[in-house]
Amino acid sequence: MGSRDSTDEELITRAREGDRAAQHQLWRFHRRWVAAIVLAHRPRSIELDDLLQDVALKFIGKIHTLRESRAFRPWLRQITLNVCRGAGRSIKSTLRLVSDDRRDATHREPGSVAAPVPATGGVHQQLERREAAERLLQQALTLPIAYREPLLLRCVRSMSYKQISDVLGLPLTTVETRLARARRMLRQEISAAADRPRVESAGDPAEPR
Amino acid sequence: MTTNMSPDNNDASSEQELEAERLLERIVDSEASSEDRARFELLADRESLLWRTLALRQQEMAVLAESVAQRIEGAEQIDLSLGDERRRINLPVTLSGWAAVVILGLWWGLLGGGGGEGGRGVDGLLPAANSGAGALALTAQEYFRKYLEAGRREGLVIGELDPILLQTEPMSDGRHRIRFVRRIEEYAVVESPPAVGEKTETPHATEGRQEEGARF
Repeated sequence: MGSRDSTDEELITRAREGDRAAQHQLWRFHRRWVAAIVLAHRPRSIELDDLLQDVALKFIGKIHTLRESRAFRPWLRQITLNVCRGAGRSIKSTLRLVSDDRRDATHREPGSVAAPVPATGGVHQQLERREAAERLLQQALTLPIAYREPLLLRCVRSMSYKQISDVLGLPLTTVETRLARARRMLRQEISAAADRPRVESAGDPAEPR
Repeated sequence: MTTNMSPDNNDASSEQELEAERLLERIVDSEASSEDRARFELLADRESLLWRTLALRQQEMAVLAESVAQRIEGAEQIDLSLGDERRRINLPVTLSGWAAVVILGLWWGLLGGGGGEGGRGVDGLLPAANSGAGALALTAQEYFRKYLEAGRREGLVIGELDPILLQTEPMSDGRHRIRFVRRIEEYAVVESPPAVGEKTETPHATEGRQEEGARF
């Protein structure tokens, strides 16, 4: 962490002075956790990539306004939050499209057509695994934001408690507590969901849906 | 953790569970110190179920991390220099369905209802995709197909319903010009639902972002 922090320090200084190469490299270092923040905060109807592009543009346009290098992560998070909130405000409040809720293949609406599923066991298992992973993520996205955000950050190439606390501006102990609580809530939710009867149990599970 | 001298066994047991829980979390997050690990091993020696719990927690976190990684893998493509190009490429797939319908209706009308020459250009309208006018100059048919594909991918578009014929009109060359409605079945979420079959406003997912010049 130490060497990475000093690299960041140098890059941030150069980036603030308008060095394009430094700006690019800094963005590349940090864009994954920024994506996790976007994932945690974005309005459901707007694509993650679109918001991330907006953050990238704001980042490059405002990096010169950053006063202290050590405030870089909270600063970038704040830019990300502003972009997400701005996008949320711009959505027409009366009528909006759904996106992510519909992506989960296990929650298809009646009448929708699923992609054909090859009947081989290995592929089927892989699909089931992916669906389970997707369900887990969907559940994580329903957690209260105070828990969702650190949890998603933790999933990004294993960010450390320290890095998460830097980004969120929270004490280490709070990060640790929130992560533990987030996972506990997630487990409870999954367990509750497993107890609920499945509506789509009819039919051969190997049958393409 | 160990300072609680309460004689109550339940309290002690509960304290130990809390401690084990905290240690589990730290190990799963690769944040455990060597003391934490030693303490966990001690506790797990007494309660072997802790090893299984640890394995399950680690698996659970790995699955979630994999899922998040898949979802944000596009982040790797978002580079500072790519913003504008990607916006342009996204434009066709973000066209509104009804705009696509209008364009397509016009297109088909001018072609005399023929759909067999999909790549053909029309004077004064959009150039054909292979006309050399640029990779982004798609035909209306291609825009429409891309809209359907993108919509299906996003889970918004269910499919296209059978078209409804409104009018046929003979042309001097023996062909017929037809006017018809193309129908796309889609999902939308609304604050207050209109009655089924009632006329409703066409949803615009990103209305209000038009100042960025890349939406609808």
